[in-house]
Amino acid sequence: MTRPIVRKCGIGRDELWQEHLLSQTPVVLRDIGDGHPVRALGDLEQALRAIADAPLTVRGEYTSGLLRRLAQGPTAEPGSRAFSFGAYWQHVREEPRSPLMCIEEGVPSQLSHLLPQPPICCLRDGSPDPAIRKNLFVGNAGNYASLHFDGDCRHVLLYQVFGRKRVVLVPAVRWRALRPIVNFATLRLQALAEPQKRQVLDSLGAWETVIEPGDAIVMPALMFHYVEYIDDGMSLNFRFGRHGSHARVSEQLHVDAHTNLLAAASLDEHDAEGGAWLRRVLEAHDEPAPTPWMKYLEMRRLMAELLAQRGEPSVDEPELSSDVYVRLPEVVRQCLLRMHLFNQRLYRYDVA
Amino acid sequence: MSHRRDGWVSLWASVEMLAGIPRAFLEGGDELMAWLDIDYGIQVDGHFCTNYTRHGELVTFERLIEPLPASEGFVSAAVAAAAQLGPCSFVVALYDQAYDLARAGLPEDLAWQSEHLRFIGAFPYRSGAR
Repeated sequence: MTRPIVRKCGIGRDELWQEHLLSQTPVVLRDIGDGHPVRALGDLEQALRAIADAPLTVRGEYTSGLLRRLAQGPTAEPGSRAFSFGAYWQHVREEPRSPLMCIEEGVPSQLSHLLPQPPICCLRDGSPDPAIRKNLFVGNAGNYASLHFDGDCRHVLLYQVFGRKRVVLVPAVRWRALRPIVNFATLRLQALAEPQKRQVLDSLGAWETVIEPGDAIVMPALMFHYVEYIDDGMSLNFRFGRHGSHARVSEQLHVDAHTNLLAAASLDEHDAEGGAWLRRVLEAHDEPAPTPWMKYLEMRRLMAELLAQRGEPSVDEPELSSDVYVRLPEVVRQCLLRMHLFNQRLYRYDVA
Repeated sequence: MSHRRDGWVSLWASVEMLAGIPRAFLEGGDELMAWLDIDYGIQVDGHFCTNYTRHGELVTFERLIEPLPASEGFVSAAVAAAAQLGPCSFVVALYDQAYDLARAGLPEDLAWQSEHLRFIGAFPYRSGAR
């Protein structure tokens, strides 16, 4: 059985941080939208009447799309396109299986009044988060976001405006069974038939829920997550609560399962042991290396050493059949890794 | 750091089968340029050429470099330098570059180099090249 996600109202900051964010336990909040204009957009028809002219940038699903492009070379997938909210849904009426969605785009000014920043989306000490991000998701039924974790180390509150979404979260410690490359699991949940998908999720100890209009799921930072669009839908998210050292992790270190585990071990900035690990890693980062690859190898060795010292939690990894994974030859994995280091301009030093 | 040197060619080869790699890599696209930049710190700003086997199969290094432009000037020296290399599936030649591991600050051993893209050496390809 997957683990159900508890649903709460009236949660306070201390409870959110202690019982959910720091312990990596997701929660659904039922009252985040109460009293705000967003509650009047409970279905597509209401939304079309209210915000048909709002501009959207849409593109194909990005995580599996990235793997596919890098594994198979450029495809004929459409790039990003500009639509109005109304024109996008007209497009979906004409092509109900369209892969195009508005994914994690900034919220257009016309929509920013719909849901003000919830007070709980703050830093741990209650002060406003100056680096908070607010994003918009609009997509049609049948679409998905493949299993991945976010490398920005922020917690996420995802508010469902209309439509339903199935949300699955997998703890960072289960990374081996997910066979990730950078931050993308190569486990293809979206391609599995429901009975097999359920079997896989059960074996991974995943959390699972369906969020409905008015629900907001809080996804603690660094957890793998997967989303299915059950209906045509729209969501707003707030990404918040990252402490200063984690800002450096997300901006300066390569993204992989080990970096993710170290970041997860130091989610609490007041935790002495986690803080010490992080300091060692960030100090090592600051030592110049002749090439990004040499620094990557050094950082990987150091992280493996620190994780071995810490002792990874013992988990029984399920033996999953090879057909549940994207087929990714080792050379393509190696290529993806270089592209990540290159595109993010990581580990570059001005060495004479 | 610049490794430019007129009349010299720098060679890298793969001793692994490259089946499944994006064609863009084989033909010198961003994927290959990123790999050279990340692993070796070299940015390609001049003439370069790649050669690879049709199905990623392994053949002799000599067979892969012979079709490269101006190869008559460097085949012998390059084959001698690659004597211990074994069969290959891919080569890339950067012209007018004399890449040097030591000058780039990198260890000269193979321990850190990926078998998918190993540095072979730099060789003059034009008589009179300095």
